[in-house]
Amino acid sequence: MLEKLKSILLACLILSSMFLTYRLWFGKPPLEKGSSPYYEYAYFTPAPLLSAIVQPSEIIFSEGEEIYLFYRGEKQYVDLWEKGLQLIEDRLKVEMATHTSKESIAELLKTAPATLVYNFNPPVPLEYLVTGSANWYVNSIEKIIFIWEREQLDVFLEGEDLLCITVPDVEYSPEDFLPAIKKPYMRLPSFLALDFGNQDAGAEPDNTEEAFAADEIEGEETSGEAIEELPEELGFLTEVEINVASDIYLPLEDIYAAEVTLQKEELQQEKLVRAFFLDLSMARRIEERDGALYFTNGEKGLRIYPSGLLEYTAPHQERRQSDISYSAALQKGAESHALYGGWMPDIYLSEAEEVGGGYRFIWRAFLDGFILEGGDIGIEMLINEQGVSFYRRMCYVFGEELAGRKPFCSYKEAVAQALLLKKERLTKNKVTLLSLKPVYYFLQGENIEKAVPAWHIHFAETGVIYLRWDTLEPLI
Amino acid sequence: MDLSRAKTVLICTFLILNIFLLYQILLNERGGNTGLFGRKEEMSRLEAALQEAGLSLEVPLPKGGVRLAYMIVEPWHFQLQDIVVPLLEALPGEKKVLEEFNNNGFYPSSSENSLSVYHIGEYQLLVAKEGRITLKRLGWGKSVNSFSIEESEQAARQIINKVSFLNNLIYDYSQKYTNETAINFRQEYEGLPLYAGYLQILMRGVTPAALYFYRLEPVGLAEQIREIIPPSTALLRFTETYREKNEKAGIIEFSLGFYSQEYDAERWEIPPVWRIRLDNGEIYYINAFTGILEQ
Repeated sequence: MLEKLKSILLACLILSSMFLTYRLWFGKPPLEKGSSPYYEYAYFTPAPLLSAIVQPSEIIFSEGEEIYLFYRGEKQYVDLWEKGLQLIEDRLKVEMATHTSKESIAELLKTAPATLVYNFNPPVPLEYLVTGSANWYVNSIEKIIFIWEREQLDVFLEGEDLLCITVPDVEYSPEDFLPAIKKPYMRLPSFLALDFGNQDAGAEPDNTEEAFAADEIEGEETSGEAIEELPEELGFLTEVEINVASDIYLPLEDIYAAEVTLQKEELQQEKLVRAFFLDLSMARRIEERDGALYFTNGEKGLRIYPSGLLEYTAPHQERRQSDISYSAALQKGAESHALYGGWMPDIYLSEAEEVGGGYRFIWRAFLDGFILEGGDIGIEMLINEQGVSFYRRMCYVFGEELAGRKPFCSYKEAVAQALLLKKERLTKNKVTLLSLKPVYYFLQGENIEKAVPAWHIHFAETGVIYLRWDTLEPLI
Repeated sequence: MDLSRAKTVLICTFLILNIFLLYQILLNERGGNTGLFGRKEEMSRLEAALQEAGLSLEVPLPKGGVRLAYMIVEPWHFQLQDIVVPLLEALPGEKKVLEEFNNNGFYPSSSENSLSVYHIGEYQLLVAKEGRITLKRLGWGKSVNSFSIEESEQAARQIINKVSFLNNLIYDYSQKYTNETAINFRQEYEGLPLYAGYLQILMRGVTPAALYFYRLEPVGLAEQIREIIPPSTALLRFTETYREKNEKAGIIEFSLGFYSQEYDAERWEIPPVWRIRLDNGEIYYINAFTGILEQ
């Protein structure tokens, strides 16, 4: 019996010594055993197609002296861009492109019966529109011009270089392209004199190149209602010469608009934090005194303000700079945008700027062709090879119109009012008009947030001023 | 030799062997080591990294394998008067200033968005929006005799023992400068060092020249408890950051506690950190969950 016990004890001791030797050699298993955690990016919306990342800032169709414009957020714009894109994808053979000069296209534009221009501001990488083009041309495109000749269609791709591709046997006519409803536009002359006493002088639309070059404006009826009698306080305007710095197009017909309610974009907080930090437990939560919530892992931070403004900073990404191409930055930015809150249907890329080794992108919302401006509205992103170093997002969803639509006051009245309001900043009799456009202006009331139609008027001397569309009161 | 005797000898041998093995295992675990095999590799990697970063480790690494959670804290709410009066009372020979203060009231001499500045006799009081308090003595009439660090420490301890809201602070470390000695105290919560809450008294000899004070109100530990990174991993991460400085230094302290920067917030979570103190006076905090250097 004793011998049996001894045998069992010996066996136990041998086994335990083997186990202890193993433990001493390899150590104890980790406290949390298992495979390394697997994280999956939770995208709010799918990343967009390459062709949807940069869309035209405006589409201009000219036929003789008629000009029709289509802006982002308009149904006609969407249709026209889809058709244009289809044509580019189906029929454009980049390998057949030839280099051409800007002078030759200017000649063609004068004689062409119909032209369709897609303006890209910011520019679009050609490879986003035409598959395989990266092997041929790497330039970004600022303008795509379709010029219809009898049996063929000439397509010009304008960037740093100007490329021409001829599409033979084209079955697309300008009529096939144009939407049924279209608004005629005029281009402002290069000098705008606000002579209210004489309707025929100074402020008429000018759609012809000849007239544009001569700066002699005659004959045509203006769309804006000229002020019959010049009020005393506007007397100084008779001596002010307005230089129009860039192409400014305005509708010939009255523009109707109404105030529109805005609803804050609601993003699921947990999903949002996960998008930035992957592992929720790695982000610690800080409740700030102003009501904002701040999440950080010590290296990067995400602040969600009570107003809905979202701000993400990763300073270490900014420090580690390495060059990234425009095309790669756009693609990476679009994917990050899909992850950090997602793409909204009315949001378009409206600015792109090279900063250090990376890029700064700004997206803005559009409704019926009008951009939504004012406040912190929009999305801003700084991106480089390492990733996103800064992201700010404040988005609203357009709601219902608050009242019936009313026409915009004429652009002349708006320009006069803007100059009157900024009179003290005018040191000379010359001012330079940089931009003039109807927009929506974000206004935050006590209980309601709304988009107010407004004239956006930008003089080089005074900066941007927003005036209510119906009363021309300044909006602040 | 009969079989029975052989068994007895073997039992004794294995018993001794097992006791020895057990002792070695316990010794290793107490030292935070995980195993002979991994340790050797890790230690040589660590030594190489330290050398490359120009660092020397002058203290043993503490043990790892600890599970912790975020510490939830709130700002310490105070009335300025309740801070200043006990402090002035505790400072040696400031009765006159205290009288002046009590008679003239308490108004900021300047105020910006994040900082209010008060003048009380020879003292300047700065109160930051986040709650950080700085009390500085502006005028110094005569030069100060030289005192040892111990004497300065003793004088500083005497001051904090007189002030009720300071006397639960724990002595941390002292640092000698040319004319002054910085005596550092820190907060503690349930035995865990809270480096984010501190008092630094800058002593000129045995006279305080300045006080820097920031206190937090710990609410508790968060629910989710997780294993922290081992000290060797934290040290490796630190060497990666320190390498860029290209300066030589010795690590004189490597300890575990809680730290975050100061926030103007209602409530926040503070991560556990490995604190690395260098002989040149610099202090670094490595997040013990993520290994990221806390800025």
